[in-house]
Amino acid sequence: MLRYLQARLLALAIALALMSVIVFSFVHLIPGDPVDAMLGTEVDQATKQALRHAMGLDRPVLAQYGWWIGRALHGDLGRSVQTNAPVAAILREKLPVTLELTAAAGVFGLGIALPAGILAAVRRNSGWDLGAMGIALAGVSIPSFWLGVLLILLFALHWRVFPSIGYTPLLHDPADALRHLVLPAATLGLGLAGVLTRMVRSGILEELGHDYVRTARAKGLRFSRVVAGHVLRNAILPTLTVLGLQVTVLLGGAVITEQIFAWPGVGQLTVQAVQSRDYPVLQGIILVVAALATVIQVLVDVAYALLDPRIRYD
Amino acid sequence: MRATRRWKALLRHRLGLLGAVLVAALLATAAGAPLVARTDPLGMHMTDALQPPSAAHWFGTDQFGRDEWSRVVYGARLSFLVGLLSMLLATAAGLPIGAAAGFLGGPFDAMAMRAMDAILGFPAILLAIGLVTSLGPGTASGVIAIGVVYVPVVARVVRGAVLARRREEYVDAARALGRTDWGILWRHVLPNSVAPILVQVTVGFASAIVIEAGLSFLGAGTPPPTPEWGSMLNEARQFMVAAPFTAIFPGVAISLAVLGFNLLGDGMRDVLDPRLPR
Repeated sequence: MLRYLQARLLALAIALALMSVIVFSFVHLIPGDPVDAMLGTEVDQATKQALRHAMGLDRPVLAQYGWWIGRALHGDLGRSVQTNAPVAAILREKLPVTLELTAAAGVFGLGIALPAGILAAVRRNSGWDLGAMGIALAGVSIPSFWLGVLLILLFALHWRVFPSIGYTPLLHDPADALRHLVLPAATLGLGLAGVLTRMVRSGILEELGHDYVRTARAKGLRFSRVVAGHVLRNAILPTLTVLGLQVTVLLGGAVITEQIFAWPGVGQLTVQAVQSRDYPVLQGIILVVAALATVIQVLVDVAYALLDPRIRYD
Repeated sequence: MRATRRWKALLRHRLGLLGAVLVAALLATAAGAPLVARTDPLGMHMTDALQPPSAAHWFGTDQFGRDEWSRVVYGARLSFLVGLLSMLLATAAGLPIGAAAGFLGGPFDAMAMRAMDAILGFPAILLAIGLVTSLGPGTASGVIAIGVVYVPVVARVVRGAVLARRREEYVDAARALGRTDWGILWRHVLPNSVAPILVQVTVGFASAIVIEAGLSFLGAGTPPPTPEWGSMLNEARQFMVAAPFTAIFPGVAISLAVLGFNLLGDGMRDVLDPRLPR
């Protein structure tokens, strides 16, 4: 286990280092002078020089990277070109709002996928199976930016069950916060529900073919007990690794979902940073979110290895 | 002979066939856009703004009185083009990387795969946003960004296929005949690895269409007035109460295109390589 852990941590460190190089290079991909791109051409030379110095752009490229990543490792992601606020402080404020949405989407996805996948596998080729297949197909084919618009059309404008846009902090007014959370969470979570439904279904079908199921049935256990007591645990475990991968997808999807529902998290911040070409903010967001997703993925993988000893020797 | 058998197998695969039909419809629409569209997708008629669907305007009109049907049809052309070009780019870079990694092994394999892991570590849409913002918004930047995002996916599939094939007997036979490593790779290993690559690229088309539409929805992709499904949806949000159809038709188009490529990819996977897990 220790060797597995060491290998995973080493791979994580290398991946994070390479990812930081990619994020760093964004500023250098800009055709022409990045300072012109950020401030426009009408700004006086002194202001330009100040920004160039503040972002370290007046140093050689390698030194720039060392300086940038050194500060980032100490929690200093620079300052916003637009508001001059520290990027780390902005992220501390916005990231929890996004994580709230992401977690709710995860709960939504699992809440649909587990029952749908189990029913589909147990009642194979029935109406339940067809329904689960429908969820799986809808999950992969309906992009969030359309689903969100459709949900607003139906549930907010037509039936008026949920508010169309906006955010209430959970501690401020829990009931109102939940009402605002439902549509965005469903929008972001349907894709996950689709992927997981398919995984749960095929996982259970595969387990049902094993000998221990026949043994358990032969000794007189009811089918439902066999599924709940034996099959489910073995079948759900592989789903966990997919969930790790899906965290990355959810964090990316949040950018679009937040834009639809005016959800004041990292996604909205991203779009604002793109529009105002605020590179320190954009780089900070992408670096932190990608690092977070990668770390979560490794944690999920390690948890998986702890739960299933067969994995470690791969 | 083998090819015809595979085609027949795909025809029997009901969902795969549905996917093939949807993709063929998209392709036909994209290719024949000027004929199918009936009117100019950019032609503004302010007096006809936000008209509901009618005989004159099958999908209604948008806020500038432009014909929604024409815009959806021309949007198919753009989506297909973005999918094709970005997948060509991803394959052009991912195929040699994956093939070399799988065939050479050792330090090159380790280095190349760590680099691929790094790209895969990003949420795809965030990496694409970062790249597009730096390269300057536009369709070309979108193609490059989606291509880059998809390089590791292709590279991994190619590497896996090469690893699986390099121990086959025909590779040993070719080596015994005195062929060089690279000769074996290009003549024997890669041609036998086409199936999984083709499947991945087909599914990748769907991702490319979603990412391009997502970028445009956020205002970082193809800029207006070019008809693009994502930006059409974004504009339609302002008129959701008065003209919900302007949000519905581009969304249906995206979903059908994505569904088509996904079903076709799944069907091809089942038909081409029954050993692969479903």
